[in-house]
Amino acid sequence: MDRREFLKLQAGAALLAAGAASGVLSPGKAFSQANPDIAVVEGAPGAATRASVELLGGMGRFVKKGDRVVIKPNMSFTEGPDSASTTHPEVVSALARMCLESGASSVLVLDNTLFDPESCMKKTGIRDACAEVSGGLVHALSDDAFFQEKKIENGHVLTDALVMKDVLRADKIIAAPVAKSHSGAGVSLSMKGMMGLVLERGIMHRKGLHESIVDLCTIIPAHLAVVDATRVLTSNGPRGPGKVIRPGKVIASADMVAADAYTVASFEWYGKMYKPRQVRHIRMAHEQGLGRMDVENLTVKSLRL
Amino acid sequence: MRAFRRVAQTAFFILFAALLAAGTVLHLAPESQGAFLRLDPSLTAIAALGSRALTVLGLPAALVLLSALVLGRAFCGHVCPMGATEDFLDRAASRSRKGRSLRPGSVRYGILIFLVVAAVFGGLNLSYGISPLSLATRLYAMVLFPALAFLFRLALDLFRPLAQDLGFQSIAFAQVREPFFTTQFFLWALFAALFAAARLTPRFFCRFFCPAGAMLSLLSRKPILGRRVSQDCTRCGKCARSCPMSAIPVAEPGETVFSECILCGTCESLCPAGAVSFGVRAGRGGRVCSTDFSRRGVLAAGLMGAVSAAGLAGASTLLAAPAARPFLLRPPGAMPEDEFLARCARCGQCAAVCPTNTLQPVWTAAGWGGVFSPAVTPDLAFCDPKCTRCGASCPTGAIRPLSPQERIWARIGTAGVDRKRCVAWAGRQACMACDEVCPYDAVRFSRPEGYRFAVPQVAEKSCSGCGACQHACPVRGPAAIRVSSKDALRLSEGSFVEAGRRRGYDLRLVAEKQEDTPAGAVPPEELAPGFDP
Repeated sequence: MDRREFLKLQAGAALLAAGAASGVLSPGKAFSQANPDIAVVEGAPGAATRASVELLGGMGRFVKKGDRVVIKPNMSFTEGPDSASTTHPEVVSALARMCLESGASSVLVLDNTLFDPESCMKKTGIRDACAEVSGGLVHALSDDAFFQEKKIENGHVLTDALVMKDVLRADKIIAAPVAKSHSGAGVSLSMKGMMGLVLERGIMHRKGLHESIVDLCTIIPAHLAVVDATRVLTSNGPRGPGKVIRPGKVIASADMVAADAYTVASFEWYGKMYKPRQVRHIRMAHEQGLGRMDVENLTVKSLRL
Repeated sequence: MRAFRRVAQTAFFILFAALLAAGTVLHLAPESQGAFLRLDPSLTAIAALGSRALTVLGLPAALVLLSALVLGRAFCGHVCPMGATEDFLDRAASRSRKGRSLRPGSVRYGILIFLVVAAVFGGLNLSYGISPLSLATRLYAMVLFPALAFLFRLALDLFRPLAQDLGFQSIAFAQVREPFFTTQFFLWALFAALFAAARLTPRFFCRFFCPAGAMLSLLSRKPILGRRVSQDCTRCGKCARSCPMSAIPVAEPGETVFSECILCGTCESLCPAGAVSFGVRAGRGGRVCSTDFSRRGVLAAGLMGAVSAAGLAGASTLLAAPAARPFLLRPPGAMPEDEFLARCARCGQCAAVCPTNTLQPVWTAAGWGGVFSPAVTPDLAFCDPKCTRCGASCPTGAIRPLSPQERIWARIGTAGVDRKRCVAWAGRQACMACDEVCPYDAVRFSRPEGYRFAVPQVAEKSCSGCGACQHACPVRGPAAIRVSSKDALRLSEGSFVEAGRRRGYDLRLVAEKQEDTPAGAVPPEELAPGFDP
């Protein structure tokens, strides 16, 4: 049994379990009836990722045949999964594999890293993990040749941004952040992660970090957000070292604001619990109708593998 | 001889270029390139004299010097990459024939004496302006390498759309590091002038300026191996007229000025009578160029050296005392400033192998005695605490070679926040871009009374001055968090780790700190940074 088969088997088991949990005998039907707004799966990173997307209705709901997909993990630091400052490689590779299975014509894993691109791709383990799915998926782009100016029509503080051309060309964007605290933005999750697709970020800090994050998400919203909370850096993020907890969970949603809001509400931050509205960019995104932060009114399906 | 020399010269040039390319493009073994530079007798000797330190680093140059007793100036003709460059340009350039009669004169001895006096009496290393391997390294690493990278990038940008369509991901997403050096336009001009002079006479630099050649000449008066002329010589003088070094007296083509001869073999291949050969010479000595030395010339050059050294040293200290240069950051492991400048050959090797391109040659930022010496420039990039390349590549030990652990503790300065300009302090906005990137976790946050968002503070004992914060700071011209040379560790010997610990520093990288972090909770009455009430 190779890795792929194993994961499929695990996902299959997850489906059955989910079906049983929801009291419906036919698992396929259960999902077609009503996809939850948020799916939370506890388990090994790769399997939990797959199961969480399946709970939402499967990758086929998001990625159609021939789609060009960009996956945006956090691979900004030259540190691996233990630091909890970068996305677990198996979360990223599971997403890439599912996209290809759904018939994506191209899958790219992109980030404009804070540190040396080569070291980041290597040390996070993301390039190696994705190489098992298909070659040439992972790129840390920082050369301005890869970026293009994009107007932000209704921006509050930003009028434009230099965004990766491949992102602007993509049919679907999948956010795959690691869950962590951020001393400026409160948390660094799906929405904050979109900054990694931009060339010049200094202006976003000058014009207002939270406002800029929301403006950016109006032009490049994720169609699917999969938050890697297998480890959570609850303090001293985004780089650490800080307190790392290991909930072993993956949180997925078609609504990136909801995914972020649920993540905020689920874990401690610096030793205390917070409401999603206490994170300014989440609150602003909610108020602007980009997504919903009222997780108490959303349907959540949880599963433990 | 001529064929052998072509092969040898080409092979050594390829070795030089390959080591340089390995160090700069492929980021491999910077040590080996430094070793090649150490072959330069003038670069090594002047650094040793200036710093009054004779180390094992001088061994390769000493061997080259001693080789002159046996082989004469074979180094110049067969090994030196600067000579190879000149020969190549000579072949490429057309030249009026009469230029060949230009006499080398004693200029280069004057330069050598000047350098020695400045080093001995002024503790100054001025060899950087003129040492052949320092010049050659700068020519290839700081002028041609950036130019090639620029062209390569243009080509890449051109082919990218096609590669993308064809699915060649590695080309479609290839990124070229385009190095930039602050003094490269000056170097363009310098080399343009130097090579324009190649139109006047072959090996213009080699014959008129090269102090390494002058040193070798001194030991090349009666080499064991050298040019031999048999009885078959018809005294036609063809060899004398063709000699690129004017090493054959026209009146007596049977003689050889060994202090000039670089064993190129031109005479041997041209001789119609087949009278010239190279090999072990039978007893009789050669000739020295009569104008090589005059007492007056030696005294004049020495005096000039002494006056210049005194002038430079005086001007250097008067114009900008060390205290007046708070933002001059030397590479990690750089010796104490005086010793650093005395040793530094300004070859640019450290800057060329620097993976982040933060190392830049300075103009007068380090005083007039420090022109072209390297400095860390965080505005361009940070100095990676995991990188030991500059020290490894340094041919003179001006930057000490460090182990990875020593490097982490080789503090180059201290970051400080300008609260009047900081986005968080003055603008009262969420930012903390500096905290995000700090490899030492030395940027701490707090939320003083009345501030809605966290503001940064530097934990000075944990800061190494790498400049990641300064580079990331969104405030420009200048950044609101800036590294000064405060508390830089500049040791000529001993351990940086021990010295740092003695001073109470705690210079550990984030990864090493992971285990011993406290629970990471803020006091109950405070909010986590970045959160709203």
